[in-house]
Amino acid sequence: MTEVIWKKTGINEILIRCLIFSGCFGATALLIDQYAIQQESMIRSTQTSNYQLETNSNMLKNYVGHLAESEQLFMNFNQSIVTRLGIMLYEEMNFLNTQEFTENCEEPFCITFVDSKEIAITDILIFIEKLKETTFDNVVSLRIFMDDLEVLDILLDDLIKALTFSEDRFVSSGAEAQIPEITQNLGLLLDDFLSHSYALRQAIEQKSDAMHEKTITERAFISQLMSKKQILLLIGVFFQVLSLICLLIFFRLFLPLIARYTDK
Amino acid sequence: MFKTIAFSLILAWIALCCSILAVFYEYTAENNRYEAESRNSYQLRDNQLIYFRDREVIRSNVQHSEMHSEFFFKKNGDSLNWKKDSVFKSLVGFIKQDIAYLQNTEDHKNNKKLTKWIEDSKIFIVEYEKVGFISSVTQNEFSIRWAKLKNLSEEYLVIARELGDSRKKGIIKNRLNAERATNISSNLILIAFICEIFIFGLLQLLEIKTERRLMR
Repeated sequence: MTEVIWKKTGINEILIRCLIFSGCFGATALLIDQYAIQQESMIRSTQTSNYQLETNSNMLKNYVGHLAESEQLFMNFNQSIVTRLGIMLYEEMNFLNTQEFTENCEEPFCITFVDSKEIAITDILIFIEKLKETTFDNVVSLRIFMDDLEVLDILLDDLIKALTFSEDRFVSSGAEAQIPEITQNLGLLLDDFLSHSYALRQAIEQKSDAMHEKTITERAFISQLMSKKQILLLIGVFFQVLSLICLLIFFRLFLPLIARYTDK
Repeated sequence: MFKTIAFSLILAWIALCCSILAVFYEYTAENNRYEAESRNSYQLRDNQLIYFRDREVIRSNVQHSEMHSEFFFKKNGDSLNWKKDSVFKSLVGFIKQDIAYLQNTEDHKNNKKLTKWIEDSKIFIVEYEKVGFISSVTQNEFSIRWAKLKNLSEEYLVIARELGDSRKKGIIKNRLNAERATNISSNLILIAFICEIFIFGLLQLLEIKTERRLMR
């Protein structure tokens, strides 16, 4: 009986097609959703790496600023040492380093810092050591994150070598060194430090700029991925709706058939 | 037919387990991403602070030398004393800030070096505040306090760098974990999807077979 009704109306083919189309649209929707899910994971990974890159670029920029400040401080230090040595060199200024000067001072708490060549050399050595330590430690600390900064190692090596060489020069000459010699050595050290530090600063700045450029490119890529994901999701919804429509048509045709069959 | 349904059910269970595991792995990946990002922002902040302190330590050396060099001021007790104070002030200020900040961090509880540094710094600050202006101390006292202050500042820099380096290693680890977890999650979802496709194919096959049976 059912066979007769089905064959007469030709509804069997429509029903099967409805089911097949519903399945095909459903599968397409699933496929597209799956692709969109994969995009989401890619977006999150790129976002994290982009954030990391931005932080690295900022850290490098901050270090460039720090290095520039160190240069300025070295210049000030050089000036103060030259002045101190100048005071020691010219006899007419020697009264500034004597106890009488302190005694002549009216305030009770006025205590003059008696200066000498040895104290100045010690100060220079402490300053060089500090500069060496901070420059080295900071660059090494930056290198933990950034594997692609081999060029910095060479420049940092040069800078540290220059500082160590000057340190050795001051240590070997010691207290026997004449004041003009100390001044000259300090001037050479300052020149050396400035030229090496400038090269290092420039290399870091270039690297930081390159990283910044990369973050912008990556952001554009993220935005493209996001729009792609959005479009994919919308297309997925479209296919899901199509699949549902096919199912609805199937039930719209199938249920009256069942009803007719059960009535008879 | 029953075999097909049983096989489909097994596939469905596999797909279900895969999706549950995928959710778990994605959650782990997201946690690691969050951890890496928050550590990153702390790192950026701490790096900047290390540079500030570094600069202050170098600057204090320069100021110390300048104090000897400014011979016009040497005669003037007030200027000299003002210089002495200024050498101290910024470093003491930084130490106070660091104590307040580090006491609220987790690092403080797990790092003995840091705990000791905080205790030493607190003692130093109490002594410093007792004296009031450092200008009122004698040259010897000034030298002792100056050496102590420099030691504390340098110790802090070493500790901060160590903490920063271990944090950086943690960030790298977090990023690797996130990448691994997200890859596993994506693969699991892919497996679940393939299972679904199989199930769908089998169902279609069953439907067509049933239709044919009905038509016969």
